[in-house]
Amino acid sequence: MRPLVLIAEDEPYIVESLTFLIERAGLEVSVARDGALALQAIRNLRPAAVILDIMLPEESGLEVLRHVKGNPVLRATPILVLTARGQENDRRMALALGADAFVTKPFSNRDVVEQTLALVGRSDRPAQGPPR
Amino acid sequence: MLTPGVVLAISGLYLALLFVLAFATDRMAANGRAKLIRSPVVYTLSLTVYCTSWTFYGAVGSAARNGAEFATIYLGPTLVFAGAFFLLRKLVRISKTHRITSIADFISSRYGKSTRVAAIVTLIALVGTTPYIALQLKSVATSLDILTVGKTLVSAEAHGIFGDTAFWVAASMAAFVIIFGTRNIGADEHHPGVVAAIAFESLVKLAALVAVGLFVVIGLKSAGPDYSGPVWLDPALRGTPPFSAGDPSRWTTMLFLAAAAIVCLPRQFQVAVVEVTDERHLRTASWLFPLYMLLISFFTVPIAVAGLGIVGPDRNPDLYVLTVPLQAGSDLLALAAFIGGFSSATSMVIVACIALSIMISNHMVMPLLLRSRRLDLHQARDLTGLLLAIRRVSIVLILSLGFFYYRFGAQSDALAAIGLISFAAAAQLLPAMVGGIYWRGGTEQGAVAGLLAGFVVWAYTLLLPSLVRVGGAMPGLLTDGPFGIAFLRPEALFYLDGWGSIQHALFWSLSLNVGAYVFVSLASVPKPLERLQSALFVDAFGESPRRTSRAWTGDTAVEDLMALARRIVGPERAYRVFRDYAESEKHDLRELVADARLISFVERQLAGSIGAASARVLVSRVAGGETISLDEVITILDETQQAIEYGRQLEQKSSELEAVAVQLRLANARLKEIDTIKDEFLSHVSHELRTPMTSIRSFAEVLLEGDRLSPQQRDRFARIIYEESQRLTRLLDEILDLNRLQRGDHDLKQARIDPATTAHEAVAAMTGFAFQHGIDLRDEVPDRLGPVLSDPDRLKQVLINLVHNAIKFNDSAGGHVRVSGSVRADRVVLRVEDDGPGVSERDRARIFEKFVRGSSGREGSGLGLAISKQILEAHGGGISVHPAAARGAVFEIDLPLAGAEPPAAPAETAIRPALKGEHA
Amino acid sequence: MRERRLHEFAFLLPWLGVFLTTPPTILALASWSRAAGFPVFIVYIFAVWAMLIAAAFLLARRLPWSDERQGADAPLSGRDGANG
Repeated sequence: MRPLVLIAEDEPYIVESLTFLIERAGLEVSVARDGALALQAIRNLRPAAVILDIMLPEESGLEVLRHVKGNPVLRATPILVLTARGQENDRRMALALGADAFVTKPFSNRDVVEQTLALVGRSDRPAQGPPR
Repeated sequence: MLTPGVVLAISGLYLALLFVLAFATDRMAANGRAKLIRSPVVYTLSLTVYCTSWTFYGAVGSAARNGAEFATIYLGPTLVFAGAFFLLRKLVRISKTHRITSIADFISSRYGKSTRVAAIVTLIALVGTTPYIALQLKSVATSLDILTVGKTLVSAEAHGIFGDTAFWVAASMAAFVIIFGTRNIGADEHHPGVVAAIAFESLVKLAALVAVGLFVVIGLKSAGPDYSGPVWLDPALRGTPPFSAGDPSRWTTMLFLAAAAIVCLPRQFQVAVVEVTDERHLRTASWLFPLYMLLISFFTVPIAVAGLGIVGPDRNPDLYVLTVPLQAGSDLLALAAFIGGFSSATSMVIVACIALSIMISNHMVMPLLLRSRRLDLHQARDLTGLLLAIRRVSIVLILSLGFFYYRFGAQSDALAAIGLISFAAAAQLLPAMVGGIYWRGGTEQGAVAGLLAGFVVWAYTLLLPSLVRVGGAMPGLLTDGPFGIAFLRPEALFYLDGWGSIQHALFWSLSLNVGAYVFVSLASVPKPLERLQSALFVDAFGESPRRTSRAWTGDTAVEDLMALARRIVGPERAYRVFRDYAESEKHDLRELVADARLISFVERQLAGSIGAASARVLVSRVAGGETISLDEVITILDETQQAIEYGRQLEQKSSELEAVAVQLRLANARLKEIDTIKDEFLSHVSHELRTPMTSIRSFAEVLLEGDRLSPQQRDRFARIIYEESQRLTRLLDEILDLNRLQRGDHDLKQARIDPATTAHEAVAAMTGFAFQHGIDLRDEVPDRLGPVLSDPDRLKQVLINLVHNAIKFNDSAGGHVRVSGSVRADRVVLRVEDDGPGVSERDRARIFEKFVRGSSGREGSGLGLAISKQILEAHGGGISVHPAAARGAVFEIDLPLAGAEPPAAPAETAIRPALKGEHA
Repeated sequence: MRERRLHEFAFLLPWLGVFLTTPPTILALASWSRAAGFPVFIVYIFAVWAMLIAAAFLLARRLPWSDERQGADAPLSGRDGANG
């Protein structure tokens, strides 16, 4: 089974483009349209990596990040943060909360794919095999 | 005939009495029981140190020579005290606030705590007072000789120094002053023992003179052949000088001199300003002191007339007070008169010595020690002893100077002339002092220039001629001028001839003094500290003392300050100072912080011991340099100014100011808010632009790579790019639209329409969209509502936007959206109601702001409602949102019926400029 | 209002005194003295003097000498007066 990437993003067209890109790179994709759903998905699906938008409804990307990185079980999940504003503040906050990588919107496709693959590769090593 | 032994014994006993009185008072004061000494009456009596032996004996002499002129010496001070509420009260207030120790301290404090000014004032005071002290010694010696020998011996010639009575008088005075005047240091230079002695002496001299006066008026009958009534009414004496009015120009000059002297003589400043324990004492003194002077001079004319009648004009009229009783055979009365004169002399010498010794130690010796750095402050040595020693030496020096002036210079002049020389010297301090408390423009340089000019001219036109006359050297100097230059003759300077020497000297010295003071002040730039002090002095009544000279900053250890204070004022008093400070500040003594307040407090306490200038130097060494900055001074000045302005203006004015302040605060808050809004706006715009750009870029990249895409994918991606670029365009249009609306430069058509029609059109336009979403859209607007002035296209835009939102966000299956309308009062109201998720309480307040979308919002720029709001406001209408009865939200818009004046319009124009700034 | 008038009168008093005791006012009195052969001048001066004292006495009782006192240092200086 291919590794699963969770895309947490609320803009439909961005979701569409990311899904296309990640699937083309040979990975499985799941989508969460708001922060609460994203958290739920991370808990249940245990994705190999998460592409997380900062500006999410319900619970913001930063909140999701805080929950994940504060949870001993979920902490290992690598997270790529999409910052729409590209503002230092959000970036710094995300970094402090333990984000693993950043991509600034509008992003370059190759950049997103390479970073995601790198994160997936990293998470592969400790937790080989499919999620239970 | 009284024998010298008896008179000397009585004088000695009298002095001993003074010692006991002073000693007892000091003891009582130390135990806090000397209430009497702090009474206004005692204060007033101590002021009468003004009435020296010069006036005790000399007033009668003056009356016998020049007539009514004697009265000026008392009238001048009477005028000043009649106005005590203004000038004297201000002097006292300032002195209490700044812990002033002497007149030199006062003037130097005013001009930036200048050591230069203090030294010059001290010099003038010393030079000016020396002849005066000599005069007292001379009068005591002469009166003693008269009383015991019966005629005036020139003691200095008859005896050696040790045989000279004046020497012993001077010596005992020195002892008295050293014992009671230099017992302690600091404590604002209060000397209760001395004050008690002075007050006692004032009663003695008044009693003596009144006794002689009553004796003359009642008891002294003429023994002439044609007249046997009281001597002083003898018709034969009618034409004598005491009945004349004297010379008017001299009269005016002396009136002025005496008025100046009552505040400018160092000893008067000492008793009137420094020793006062309560400002309110002036209330009593303002009338009691003039009354005392009236009483003491009441019998001057009768005594003078009687003197001319029974003693004769050929004998020294200055001694009629003694010689009249002697001539009449009343030795006892003569003795009483002598004691009175002795009292006058001793009290003057005592107070003058104390005042001068304080000035010399604080303003001449201390600055020199400080400058030479011989005084190691880090050495744990008690400076109290040193200070006291300096003062004691000064006292001996002052009395020696007086004594030698008396021995060599003061023999030929009439008493009055010497006294006037002293008065004229003191008057030189007047411009710097009075100018300093009423004129903020006076500067240190101006004060120095004025004082020096006045002093030099005084010395040249008054002191020099008197010395020349006595010494007999260079008589040509007076008649022909120096080096024969008549233009510079000391008594006819610049050819001002034919005036009395006093008038002449006073005119030139004061003119040049005032001129130099004013012009140099205007031409020089004051230092920050000078500006601060000038503000504090001039506005003494305007601000609270708590605010004064908060000019210290920097880090200082409390221990350093305490150590310094201990060395200057002694450990016990230093402890009390700090304890009192801690109490007044509600601090624990051990937790005191050496802040600017404590430092300036300590500085003021030390100023009470060693003068402001020296205190500043000392404290600045401990506190680490002159740390007053211009900014601080300006802050302090501003505070002061504010306080004064506030006081001066009426309630109304001040509330106006408050209103302006509130407005300013509000405006400031509004500006900050707008700034925040601007930041948020930019951040939102950036987000809203980035989102479509992200999709566009991403799909464009995919398309550019080209390969492996199915035609469907290719079409799909191209369509997304197309849609997203349209979204971008729409977004930019909306931003610009909103901006235009908010600026008020909209292109609204004002047509007279019925909004019902517009509503029908809007609903019709949205029917398809509703159908797609499975929403039941109902048009319940009546056919006619009423005419409004509106742009139909814009109104439709608003309605479509509302209906669009209502449909889009309605998540209930088979949801409903209802559009209805009605007329309420003079307004048309349209409602769009849905049964969707509704708008939360929190969102309701801000949903009409830019970029705010309901929590569940997904599409749209977030500008729709903001634009709707702007459009309606431009029409004089409004928009609001309410929760629906069951579920969902009701958006309600209203427009004014045409014909009715749109009431919201004027308010709208007022708000618009503020809104404009949001995009700036 | 009354207090302000009092204030103004207090301010005028010394100047009134100056007016009454300087030339040209006293020049007139000096001439009267010579004409009357009686010391009118001296009597005048003492009368003005007594009037000034009386006025000062009345003012002293009514002017607000103390109510403006607002010093933080007041308790201190009071204590100093007792001890110093």
